[in-house]
Amino acid sequence: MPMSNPVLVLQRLRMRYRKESLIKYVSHLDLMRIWERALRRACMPVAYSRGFNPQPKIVSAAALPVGFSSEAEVLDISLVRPLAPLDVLKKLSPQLPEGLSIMSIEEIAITEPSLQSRMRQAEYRIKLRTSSPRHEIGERIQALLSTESIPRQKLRKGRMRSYDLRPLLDDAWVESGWDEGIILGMRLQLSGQSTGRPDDVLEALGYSDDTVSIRRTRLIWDQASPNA
Amino acid sequence: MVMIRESDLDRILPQVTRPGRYIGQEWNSIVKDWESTRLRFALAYPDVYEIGMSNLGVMILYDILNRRDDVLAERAYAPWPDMEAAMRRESMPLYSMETRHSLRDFDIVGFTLPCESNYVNVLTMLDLAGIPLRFDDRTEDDPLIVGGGSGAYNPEPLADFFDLFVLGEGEEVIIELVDACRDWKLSGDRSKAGLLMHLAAIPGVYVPSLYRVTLGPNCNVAAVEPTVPEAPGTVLKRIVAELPPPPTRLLVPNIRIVHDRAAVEIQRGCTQGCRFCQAGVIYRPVRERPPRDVLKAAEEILSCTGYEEIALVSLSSSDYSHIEDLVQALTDRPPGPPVSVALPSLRTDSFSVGLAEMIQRTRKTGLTFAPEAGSQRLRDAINKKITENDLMRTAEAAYSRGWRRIKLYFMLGLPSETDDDAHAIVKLARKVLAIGRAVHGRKARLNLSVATFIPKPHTPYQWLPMADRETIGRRQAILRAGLSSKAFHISWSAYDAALHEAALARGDRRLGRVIQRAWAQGARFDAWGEHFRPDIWREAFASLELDQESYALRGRPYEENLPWDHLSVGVTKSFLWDEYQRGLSGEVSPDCRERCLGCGVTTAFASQHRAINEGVWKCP
Repeated sequence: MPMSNPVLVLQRLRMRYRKESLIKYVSHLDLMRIWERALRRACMPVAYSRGFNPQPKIVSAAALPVGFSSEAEVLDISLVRPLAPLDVLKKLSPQLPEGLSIMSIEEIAITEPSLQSRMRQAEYRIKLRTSSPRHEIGERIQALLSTESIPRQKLRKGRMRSYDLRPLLDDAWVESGWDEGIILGMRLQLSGQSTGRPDDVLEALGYSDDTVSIRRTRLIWDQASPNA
Repeated sequence: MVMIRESDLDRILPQVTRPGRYIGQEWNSIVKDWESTRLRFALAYPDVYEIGMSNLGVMILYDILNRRDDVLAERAYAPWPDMEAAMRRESMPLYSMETRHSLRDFDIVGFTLPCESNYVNVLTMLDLAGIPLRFDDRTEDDPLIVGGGSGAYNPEPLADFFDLFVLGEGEEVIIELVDACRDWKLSGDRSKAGLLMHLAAIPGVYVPSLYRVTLGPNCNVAAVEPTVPEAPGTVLKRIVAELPPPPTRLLVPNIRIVHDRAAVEIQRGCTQGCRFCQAGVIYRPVRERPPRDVLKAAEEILSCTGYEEIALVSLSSSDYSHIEDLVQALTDRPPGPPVSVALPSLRTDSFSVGLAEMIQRTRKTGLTFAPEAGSQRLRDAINKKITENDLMRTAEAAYSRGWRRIKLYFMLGLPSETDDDAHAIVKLARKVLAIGRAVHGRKARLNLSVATFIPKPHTPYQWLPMADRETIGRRQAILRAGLSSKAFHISWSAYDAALHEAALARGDRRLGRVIQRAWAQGARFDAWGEHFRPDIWREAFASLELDQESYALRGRPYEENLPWDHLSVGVTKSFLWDEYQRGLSGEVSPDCRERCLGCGVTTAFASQHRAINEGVWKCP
């Protein structure tokens, strides 16, 4: 099979979607397979890589950890035949398992650089079940934000590694209250080089055991084209 | 009635590995209205989700049951030990995937039993659902516990835990079972004894409690007799005369499973007649699905699942009459997203390498063949009809067409095997690798998967002992010493695991207590090396004054009544014995597509054989 000539991509679509309810327990890799199969069921003309093991040209902006829900996921899809974005939305939506829902689809330039390379930050909303008063939680957050460094340990590839969480944490705040506790917000670094995890921040704050849910609410990337 | 809510799962799923196993919501899963559906059937599989979801038999039953308006079928799998612990901590019952009802709330819980090594998981599942383990501890308010599948052909060790077993193919009998249960539910007769009597009259249904078993002194059974006229003296397995259309709205899992692909069964049964093979006997007669039906089903499956791979499933795909045309048609599909074709279980010949090449347009990772024995003498004895020449030509074809790695299956401990036969495996493997090296140099690889042979019920070797530990160890050492080069990679089955499987496979009703004790002591997922605890099983046998080794290692005379003799797969005992004798004298029996060997199947199922068109059964 020839491997040299590139696949002709005639259209790129950027899709924003939510990942909610139980499907949040599906890993990133598994989720990409779910998307591939949904696109096939919807008969979408997705471009595939050539070579030994053809892979669909669908690229996620940023992997979402298992167990987090999200209202801000982004997926870029390359097609070999141009379609009206609205048409794609109509055909693809009924093929999605419960918990996945498309919010919008727009066309982007074929030359547009990948989102992964331009990701900068992500925001999260965390629900805590706690009886601690709001001001006390606010103070704890302020104390954490005012430190110079937050040394932490993490198991990676079977080895304990030390790292500093502080530079990965851009901001944190108390958002509101709910029946059984408090809702926090956080903004963390998210890029190819360094990614901060909200659950690590919660652990540093001492709220791990109080966490009810973590939801990604926003992805922030560089809008400026690198050539501009 | 207990229903698990999403918020309940949110409490425990963050604590367990691979939580996607427990969420259900697979594409094509069928969720019916619980309240308004008359009969509720749980299809339970006593292994982890990734294995259970790969089982085509469960898919078939799920499809058939859910086609009925008055029935709902939902699935359940064995939770991994971390999930079991979490569920117990939270007092969460085992729930179904679709509506998350406790298994206890179903009318029938039907277990598919693939093999002996996960019997304990049945107990975990019952217990987690709050269903009493033993049939005599259950009342009319508990679900009916039913077993079936290829691991139910000697169900005696499980007789304490099941209300009934279904022998053979489930497509038709499951509907008869459901109808009978519905009628009973409507009749107002609330006695379970009445129901069981009623069900025992359905052909293929075996109700263990309606039989009196007279146990012998050692691990043998003197007699098994029915105690009521409804129960037949011999229960004959069920078959379908023709393969019905296969399910096409296959469930698509949300997480990676073992066989994460579409599957169409192209053929049931196998005509090769290998004497060690239980599947080759219990799935008789051989029936092919017409290629047109296969292709139609394949297209439907691909379009309603979105799978990128389709497997043509059978016990020996190379034997299917139209295999080349079929593979050609599937690889020549119209342009669109790429679809690959998988052919599990290929015969050892260059024809099969050609087939593999047709489908393997992509990466050439590995190709698997099963010579099973190293010497021609032993291959003749076990009726594995391939010669050394066949194997060499196959290896030549495979290596020279681009495969760098070949995998060969062998068994140790086959009847009449000597140390010389182990040396013959070494010789054979070296020759195969030499062929690979001639093509690929130092990059050629040969993997060997070496299992310990277990003489299974309903095979020509059912009377024979399993080889002892010392013999297997010695022969493994011969292989290890002879194949020490890095180009060989050998994987073994652990002797303790084989011994365990053999004892359960050949066991009788005494083993129920052993299973229950081992389970209570913590035995779980015995088929999984990391969980299997031989010490627990040894202790469980010993505490009941039974000898595990006797069950596995004791040869049995022809006259002895075997624990499964009252259960028939349609093949006569005398045919099995004759095959065993022919093997002893090195006599090869032909493929039964060529000549009928008189196994008994066409007699046992004579009316079905007469009713169908000539040529549907591959019995000449």
